[in-house]
Amino acid sequence: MPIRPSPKLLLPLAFGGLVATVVVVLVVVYILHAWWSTPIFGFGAGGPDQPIAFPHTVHVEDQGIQCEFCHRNVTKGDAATVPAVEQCLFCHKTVTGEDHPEIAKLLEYGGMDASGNMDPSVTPQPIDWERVHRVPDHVQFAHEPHIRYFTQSEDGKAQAVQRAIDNGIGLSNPPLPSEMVEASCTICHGKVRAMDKVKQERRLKMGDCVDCHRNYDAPTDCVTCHY
Amino acid sequence: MAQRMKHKWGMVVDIDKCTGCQACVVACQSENNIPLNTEDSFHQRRAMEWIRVERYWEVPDEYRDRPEEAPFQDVKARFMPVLCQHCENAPCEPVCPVFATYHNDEGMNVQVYNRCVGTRYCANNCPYQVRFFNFWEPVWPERLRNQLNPDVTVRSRGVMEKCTFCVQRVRRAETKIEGQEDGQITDKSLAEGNFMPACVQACPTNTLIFGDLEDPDSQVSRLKDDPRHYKLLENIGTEPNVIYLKKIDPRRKEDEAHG
Repeated sequence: MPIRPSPKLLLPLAFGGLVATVVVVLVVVYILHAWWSTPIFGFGAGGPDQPIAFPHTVHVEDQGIQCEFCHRNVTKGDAATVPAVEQCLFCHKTVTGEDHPEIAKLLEYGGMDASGNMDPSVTPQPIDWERVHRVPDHVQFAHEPHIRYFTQSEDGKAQAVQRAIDNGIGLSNPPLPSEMVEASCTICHGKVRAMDKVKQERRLKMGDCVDCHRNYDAPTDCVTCHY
Repeated sequence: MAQRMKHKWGMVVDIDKCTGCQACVVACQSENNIPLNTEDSFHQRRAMEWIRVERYWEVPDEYRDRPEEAPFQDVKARFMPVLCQHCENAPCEPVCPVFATYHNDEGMNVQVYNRCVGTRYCANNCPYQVRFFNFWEPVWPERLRNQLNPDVTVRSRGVMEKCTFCVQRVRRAETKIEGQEDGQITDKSLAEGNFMPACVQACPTNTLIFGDLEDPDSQVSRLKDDPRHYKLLENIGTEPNVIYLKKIDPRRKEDEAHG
């Protein structure tokens, strides 16, 4: 004869089973989601909040500033580099935005008062931007060779132009060098010019990198990136 | 696959020039984010030195059986820098169960840290004892935190590590030199851009010479067939890519010709 729980215990047991099932399902969904999508929902999938709500829409889409004007090192070295406060202030010393709250924050970081004059009572300090794109520590990524490939080689150019068209970025004919740089950036970073808040578009997992390296005859030796 | 043998990296170690100054050891230590070796780590035989300078005392032949009786002026200190030999036929490679170490197309013996699961088979099978296991999480004193090289991964606990021929500098050389038009990797362009491995760059007497064995004009290609050349433990057939040049000792009969 099978063992049956007493009728008094039936309800708590059923409830416990339900809770356990829900917990297991949540954990499984969380793990699957963490593996298949970066970043995980609820953990900044829409992009992290930045200390200053910097809109790429205004700077790139409306004002037409090129990517490498601010991210100066992107065509020269490993890191694309985020501009120093001083570099923002080249323009924003005069473009003080009539009490725009975000520009006021920037001026304060630069040690200035609201009208763009140096204020000795304010200590200048760097902006602690939240990092959006991050690869693990054991991955060494350099921007320069990638940009070089997509702006100089025939295959790379074709791919970059195609990606720009897919993303709806208008190019001159023939494309200007700065437009080609933006088209190259778009391949991994998506259409940043349309982002109010920058977020990660591609998963940037190893498979993502290796697929591309295979397709474009780039080396797939481990020590290309891992050393 | 576009991968082809573009280069075959190798090193020549001219023992005759080595003064045992340990500059290579220090340079390697700081270039490659190797944890500090304390007295304790040496006592435990867990010190990490991707390149080490071995010291030997040499006595005249007639005192070989009783070295302690040799007159002190005849006892010579001999130094030999030993690093990963980047063997063509490396004993460490086939024993790795997860393919964390393998021979790449550039003649390097490669250690992939993120694949390594820490079985330590490779270190046990290496006849040169140049592989080091991270028994602990590496720690640096606070003042050295900003000294770490951003181009090199900091290895965590449970991972094997070893000399990489400063592959980060080689990679940089490839993008910086070969990325330019008509750029060619030669001894000169490597030296000018400081793309030599850290030990080679630091060596004050040019004992260590690094270069492309595929390039017939490079210094290593010319020196590898020098009459003084030999390889460490040549008889076991590991075919190292590091070539040693013998010490010249005028007291020895066969070396008289060298003066």
